[in-house]
Amino acid sequence: MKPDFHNPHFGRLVAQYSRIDILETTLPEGPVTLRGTVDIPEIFLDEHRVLHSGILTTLADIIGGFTCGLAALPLWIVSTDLNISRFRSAIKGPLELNTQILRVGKSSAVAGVTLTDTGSENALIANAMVSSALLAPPDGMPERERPFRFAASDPESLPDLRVLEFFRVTVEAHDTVSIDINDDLRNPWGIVHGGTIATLVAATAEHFGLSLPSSTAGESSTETPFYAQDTVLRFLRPGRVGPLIGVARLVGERIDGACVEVTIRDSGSDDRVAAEAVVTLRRFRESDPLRSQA
Amino acid sequence: MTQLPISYPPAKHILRSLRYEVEHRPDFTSTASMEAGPNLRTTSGHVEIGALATLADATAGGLAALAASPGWIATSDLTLHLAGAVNAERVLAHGRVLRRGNSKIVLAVDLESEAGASLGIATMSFSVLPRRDGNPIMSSSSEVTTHSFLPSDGQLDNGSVEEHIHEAIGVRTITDVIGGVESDMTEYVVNTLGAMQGGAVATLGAASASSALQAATQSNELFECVDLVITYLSLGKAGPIRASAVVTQINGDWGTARVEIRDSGSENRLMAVVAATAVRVESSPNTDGSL
Repeated sequence: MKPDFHNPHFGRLVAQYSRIDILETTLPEGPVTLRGTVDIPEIFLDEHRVLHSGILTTLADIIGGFTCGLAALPLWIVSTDLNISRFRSAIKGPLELNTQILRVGKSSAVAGVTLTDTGSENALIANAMVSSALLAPPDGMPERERPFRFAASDPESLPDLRVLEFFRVTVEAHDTVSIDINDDLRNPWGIVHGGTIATLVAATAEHFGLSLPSSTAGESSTETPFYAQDTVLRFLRPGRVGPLIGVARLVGERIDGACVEVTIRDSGSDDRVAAEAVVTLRRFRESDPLRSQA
Repeated sequence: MTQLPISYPPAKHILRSLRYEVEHRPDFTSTASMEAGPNLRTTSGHVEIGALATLADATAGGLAALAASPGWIATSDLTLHLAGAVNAERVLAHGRVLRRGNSKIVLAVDLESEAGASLGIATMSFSVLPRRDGNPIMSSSSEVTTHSFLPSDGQLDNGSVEEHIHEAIGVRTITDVIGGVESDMTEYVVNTLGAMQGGAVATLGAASASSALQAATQSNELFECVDLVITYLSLGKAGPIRASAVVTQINGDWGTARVEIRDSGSENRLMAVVAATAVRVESSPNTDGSL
């Protein structure tokens, strides 16, 4: 599938599904900064009001990528590395994301992303760093109006699917999860969207967490689930064909949780490794933010 | 500003404190080792995460330099996740290339004990740079190459007790800053680009995070880092190199902090951002690793 940045309907569904609305806040002569807002739909939350780890990382990838891209113009970017540390799992919403470009070179850019919960007195939810490689689309980049705006789509026009359904996630084994790729899960480069890969990483790690002993992280019960709290994700090669297969391996169990390595392979592209991730899983210990503020 | 030494590493250098030995193979894998002596231990007797980060950085850096040859490399980021507190007396590092591109090389390093127990995993990415005068010459990647950076190669007095890695780096506390620590730029911490070596940056970052978490809990209990995620943004060449931290989470027996590391001698330029996780540990009089 070829890149197409000129067709406004190509490779946009993952960003639209994420509900993010982005406005550029760059000051004159200042570094590129963006502000994103997300009205969190119930389909992104579980019974503890925890935002799906895959969506959290997808949001950071999207707005961090736009930040790097705007700083790279007239070139554009692909994400190469993303790390995210989550501090609160359960949220009330809406979310606010603020970004700043931290470094722009000839071949790479780095953006910092801060995510806060405006419904919980702007509590810090997560910090992320998104690194990108600078590339020139073969047909050039369309003119970007500044200040940049990426408007959220009407939710009624979007798939009303829970996260794992939208991303076509299938559990294969206790340590293996797959995603059957279709065009909805690609980006404007025509390759698998970084958010799709991020969701597969989170789903693989969290499903693997179900198989860990109940004593992991000092808990005596498995009733408190594991969530991906810290993720280091390296996009190594484009996902092109699929299905993408995520396999988890335990690095170690600690007092704060479990450290898991996740390898993502593109089974339709000679099984080559598309991404590598290290995820720290931690058990949920928070109160429901709606009840605690009532 | 520290001048790049004629031969690398110089006589007194962080790699020599590790008694660092490495073998790089033509299939772009490496095996390295460090001796975790008392000079590389925390007060609780665990191996300093900064020393482990230095081991990982040097192993991956050597491998990346071979993969980038004839170009040279600079560390873009380093992540290190430990399986738990490390007590091993000798730590092995197995390096492997995940991606070898024209402008970027990505590697993983698996840390193990000599008995084969997993101690953790590091990942790193390196930017490929044009070769400059003074960059070390790497042997052909078609041959097995070995290097040993032992104290006896240099001018350390082997009869004396070796300085603790924090003392050797010159880590000082900045009392009025949360997680405030600093060190000067010296030959001990210099890398092949004349800047602070990635493992030394990690050591400062870990010291800053641990200090901030300890202060936040207002207790004498120690916090030791088990995860470091470091994004390098610029080279630190002038010094003093200063770190400060913000505690982002405290949850029972562990916490997280975000550390900024700046080169105060270069207009306070931001050098690196560190996301750290640390766990509470009990202090122990044993510092010989015999836990």
